[in-house]
Amino acid sequence: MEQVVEAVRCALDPESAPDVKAQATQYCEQVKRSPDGWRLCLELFTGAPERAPEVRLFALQAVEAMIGDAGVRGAAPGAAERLGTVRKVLLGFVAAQYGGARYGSEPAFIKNTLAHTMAVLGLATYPAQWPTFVRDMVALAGAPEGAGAGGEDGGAGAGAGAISPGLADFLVRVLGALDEEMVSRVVPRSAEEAARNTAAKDAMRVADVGHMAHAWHAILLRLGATHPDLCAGVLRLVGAYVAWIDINLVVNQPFMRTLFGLLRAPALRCAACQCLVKIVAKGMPPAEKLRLLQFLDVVAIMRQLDAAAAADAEFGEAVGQLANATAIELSAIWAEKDAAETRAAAAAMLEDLQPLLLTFLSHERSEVSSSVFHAVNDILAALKKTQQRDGAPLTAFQHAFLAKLLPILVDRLQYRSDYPWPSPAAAAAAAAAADHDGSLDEDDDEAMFGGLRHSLRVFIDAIGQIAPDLYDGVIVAAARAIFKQCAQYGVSSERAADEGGKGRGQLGWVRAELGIYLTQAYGERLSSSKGLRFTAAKHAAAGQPPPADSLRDLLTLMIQSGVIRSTHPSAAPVFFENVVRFGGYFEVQREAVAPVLAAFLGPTGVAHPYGSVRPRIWYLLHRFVKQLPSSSGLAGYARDFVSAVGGLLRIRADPAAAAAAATATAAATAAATATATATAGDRGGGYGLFDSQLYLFEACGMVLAPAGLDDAARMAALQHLFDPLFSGAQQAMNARPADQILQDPQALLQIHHYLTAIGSIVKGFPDVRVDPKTASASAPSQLSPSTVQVFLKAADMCIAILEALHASQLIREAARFSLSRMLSVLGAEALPYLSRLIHGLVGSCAVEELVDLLGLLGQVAFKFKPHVAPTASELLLPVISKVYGFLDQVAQNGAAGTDEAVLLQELRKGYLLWVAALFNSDLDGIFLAPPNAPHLITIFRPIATQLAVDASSPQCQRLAFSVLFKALQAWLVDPLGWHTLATLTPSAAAAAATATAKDARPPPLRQAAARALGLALDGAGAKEARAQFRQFAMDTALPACFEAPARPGFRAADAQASLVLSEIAGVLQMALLSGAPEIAGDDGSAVAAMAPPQLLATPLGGDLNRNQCASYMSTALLPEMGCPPPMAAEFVQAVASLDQKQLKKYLVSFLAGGAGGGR
Amino acid sequence: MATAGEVQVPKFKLVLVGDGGTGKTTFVKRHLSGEFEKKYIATIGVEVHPLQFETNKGSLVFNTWDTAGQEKFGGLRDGYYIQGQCAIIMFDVTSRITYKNVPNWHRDLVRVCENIPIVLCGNKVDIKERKVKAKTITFHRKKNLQYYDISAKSNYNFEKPFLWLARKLTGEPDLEFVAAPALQPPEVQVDDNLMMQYSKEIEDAMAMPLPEEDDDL
Repeated sequence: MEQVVEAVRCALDPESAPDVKAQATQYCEQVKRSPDGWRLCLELFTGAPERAPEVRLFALQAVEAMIGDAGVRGAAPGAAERLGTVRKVLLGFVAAQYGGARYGSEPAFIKNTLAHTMAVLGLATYPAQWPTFVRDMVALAGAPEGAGAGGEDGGAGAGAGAISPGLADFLVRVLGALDEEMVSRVVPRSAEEAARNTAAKDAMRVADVGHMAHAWHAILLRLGATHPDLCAGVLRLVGAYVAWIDINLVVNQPFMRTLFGLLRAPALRCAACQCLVKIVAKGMPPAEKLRLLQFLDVVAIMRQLDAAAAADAEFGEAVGQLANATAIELSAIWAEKDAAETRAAAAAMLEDLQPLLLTFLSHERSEVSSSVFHAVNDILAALKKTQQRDGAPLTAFQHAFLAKLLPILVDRLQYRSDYPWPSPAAAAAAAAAADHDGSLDEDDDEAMFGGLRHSLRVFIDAIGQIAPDLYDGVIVAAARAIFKQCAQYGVSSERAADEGGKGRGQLGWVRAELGIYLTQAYGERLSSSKGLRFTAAKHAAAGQPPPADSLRDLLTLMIQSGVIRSTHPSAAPVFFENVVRFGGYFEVQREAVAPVLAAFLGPTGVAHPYGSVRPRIWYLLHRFVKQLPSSSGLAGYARDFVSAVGGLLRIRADPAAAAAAATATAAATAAATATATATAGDRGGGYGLFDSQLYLFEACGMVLAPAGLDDAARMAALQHLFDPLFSGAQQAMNARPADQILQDPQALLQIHHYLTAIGSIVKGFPDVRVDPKTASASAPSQLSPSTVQVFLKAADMCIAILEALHASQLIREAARFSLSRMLSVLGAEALPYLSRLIHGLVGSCAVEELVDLLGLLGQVAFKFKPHVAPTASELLLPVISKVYGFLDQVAQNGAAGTDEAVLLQELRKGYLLWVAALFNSDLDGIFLAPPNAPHLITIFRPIATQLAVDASSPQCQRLAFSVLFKALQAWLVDPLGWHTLATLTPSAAAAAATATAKDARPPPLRQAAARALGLALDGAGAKEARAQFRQFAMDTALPACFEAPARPGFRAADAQASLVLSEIAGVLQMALLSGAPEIAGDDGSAVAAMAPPQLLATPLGGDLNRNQCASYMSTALLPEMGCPPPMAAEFVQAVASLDQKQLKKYLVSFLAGGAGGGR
Repeated sequence: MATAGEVQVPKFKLVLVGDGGTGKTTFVKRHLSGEFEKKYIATIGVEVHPLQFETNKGSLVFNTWDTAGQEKFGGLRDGYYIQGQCAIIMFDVTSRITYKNVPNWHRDLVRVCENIPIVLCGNKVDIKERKVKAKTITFHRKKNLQYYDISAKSNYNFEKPFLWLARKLTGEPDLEFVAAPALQPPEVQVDDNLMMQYSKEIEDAMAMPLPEEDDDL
């Protein structure tokens, strides 16, 4: 026994040596698991001299472990005897020890744990082995006999001394633990436990709950004055148990008299009130609930408590919760469909309650105020529901209620004057670090206030729906009044309140912000309900003005009021948000563009004195410029714009971000297949202020792009922007040799920023349109020649830096971003950089970069089509070998964790999307081009044998089959490239076949691509490659169609898998088509050339005897897989005669039946 | 070296609990008193780490009891909670079961430590495939706990749970950390917008019918 004591001490002592601790821990485990360990522990727990509390806690754990091993119903062999012993010993211990002084000195955790042990013991043995579990516990406490609240005096007849406070407290703990183990819904439980608990509850309802309720009442009555903590515990129990016991055990005259008495006892009134909340909220049929509320007369009680509630915020919150719960119940009854009488009574009671709700709602303490939010929500919902259902107009009372409610809600929308704003100097980083996740920090004022406003807005918008006129009257009028006051008296940036009291004199910042915010609320309500369509003021139609007109006028007022002159940090962000959110306004109100741009560029705009709001304004400026109508004469502002913004564009890499990037890179290098999941993207990349500066760079580009701008002015501005970036980057590059720069994270980040900034300026210019049909790629450029020269110079620099520093992930990321922008904007002019870019990136990139890179390559292919064919052909093998390099590496070593597995899945998907993009861009010729053709099968084999059959990723499977589909079509059905591949899905192919020759003649892009590659589609090389592919299609691709759905893990019922089956159906049909004599020739050796307009389509139908693919499937492939020949023939007939959708269905049943029939 | 005259730095026992593999050990080891563990090694019993923080009200130390989450290494379990003054319950946002078990950890904890401040932390928010969405995390509201999204791997919100606990324990609501705790540099960068975008992209990708439609240049 002493050994156990010592072991527990060692195991718990943080100072013990690790090996001693491990040994001690192991010993304790052994004791716990040994068959008779619990007997020893029972002795340790109860025996004298009293052991240390840690040891006794351990002893109880060992006993609980034994109880757990006895099974949910204590029915394990021999358990009854063991459990009986435990019960006897522990009951004896409690009776002997907890009645007296010892209970006071017993540590709380021992009491709780013992109570828990009793509860689990009781639950395991009640009612079969220990039918008197509850009654024994009640009796221990000394509560007088009786069931229910019984007599008028609650059994007070028995002497007060009969209840032991200690044992009563222990009873409360046991019943609390019982509630957690048996009832509480937050704790997850097995089905077996749940069944046992239901049975136990049923038995208790019959035999025991009356005794419990009796004991509760007796304790409250006798010890309420002397033992408030104990009684608060009892009240909590009543609240917890009332949900499942007979309500009459609690709601009866004597019990309620006691409870109402406690509502006036300062120490217990909160607990009593919360108990009442639970009683009110008990689930009951509407009519019964109404009778309960009438019996309790809750509204009258709350009126009596009003004064106390006003004085004590905690109690106020509790009473608020009571009002809340009552209103929720009444609203629910009122919103019921039938029982008109009950509904009317509930409505009357609710009206009685509403003034109280409004009082709570306008309480200065936000806890009290928000305690009735749920009720407000439910009342408004019930109003909405009854209004919609019955079509009845609002009653005068309801209207009056809303008319009182709305101003209170608007009032609450305001910032409190003592709201802790950050100082002007506060770093912008603080704003960037604001929480946008699930963490709502109660110390985080911004999050709290945001949450509050959100709730209030929901209510206000609901009123807007129920009583639109009232809404417009209050909200629009309030905003209007504020702006007029501002226009007349100006606005203060320091003072919170209005100068001469609310609504008078110079506006304070609180109401200034409110006006701007209400404008936003109004506009959002309009756009969500009807969609916003502004009309110009002069064209306004006669009669009822559309609502957007009042928003238009409100925005005009807001802009003209000069409210944006307030330097208070609350004003500008919402102001500029409004001009962005309701951008349509500027299409009808051109003259407003100038003052708003002036505000953006003015002292409360991009250069706002508060560093914390500046980045937000930069972002909004970017959005504003981006959505301005092209005719708004942006060019006229270019000079002012660049000079106002120019001063904010100094780039300074954040050292913290540099350190972070350095580690990420180091980790990537160390783990080769980087574990880093989220590299910084092109926006919001975790580079601090620089992320926001990028918005300014891009906005500058957008302002300088319009063709209307004088080229000399544009060049001057571009030089102003580019020169510091060029010279900064050059200096950084020239200062030291590349290998030294690579060792300096700060320098790399700085260079990364220069490159990204350059790319962002370019991004502001519109994408060039590439016409793939023209022979030359140089479409008429929208860019002036001098602009093109500047951009080409920038591209030169980016490439040069990439080639020098390609070992850095940061630099690769920046170069990829910038050069991909240049490709979009410059078009063919930038194509010569593509292969240098890819070579610079592919050599050293990490997995996640490769995924992005594949996306870029796919986009470029799609955009330039034949023009990019030679480059794409040249890059094909290096990129593919990089992809498989990563995949093979992991295949050898195994994925290091979930992160890496996810990343590789992305890579597979990205790879297949890229291959699909090559086909869809009609670049299939690059696979047949001389340097690549020898690897054709090597490239396609893994797609069919691995990716297409990997059931763990149906997405990849679908893509893999779609690639095979395209390849079959390109090389075996339309080998001479008459038809474009992008639009040819099986169903589109069917449509194309029936279309007239004229419609079906797309430009032969595939032929153009082949020409660009110097590839003769009917040449010997191409023919040889296609012959190999035909062999591959029969040997490998077709079997994959049957293997994929047969693999374990493939669930045909899954939506994703269903898409895979569709693709498989397409592949089967395309294969069959490729075997048709018109295409393959009778002997299969000759590849016939199809005339341009012709295209065979599925379903093929007709005679299959001459179709070599059909005969291969029905006589070789399917029989080899164990399918009987008649069934195989039927299958092939189905492939030929059904459309793709029908075939998919057929496939499902064939596979289901085939599995049985085949074996 | 503490001299006799020096003021004792206040120390608080912090109990760190949660299912196995949720990242408790990784989390405490982000503080530079320990080392970052790359590999998962199940904790046996308990390990105690004294984590020191500098605040505007002076230094304080959380003696952090990193307990075993796995049943088979459970050791004395509830015994470790004795005299705990505050606690962090951790779950893994990529694993629903670990969130489902939070009530069990909470119940066991409060049985031994009544009325201590407790923070609930959802770890691994840097991983793209989040299973336990912010919306479904409601347990803390029922039990008056504080909740934070964290990422032990990227240091995201690392100090938030400690700051909240420090304020509760000292009763100083305006307590701030004056120096950023010395942390291991992050392994990954977390950007919530980016993460939201990712998840939306994945959903969009699932909804997209055909690959040939992605001509979003």
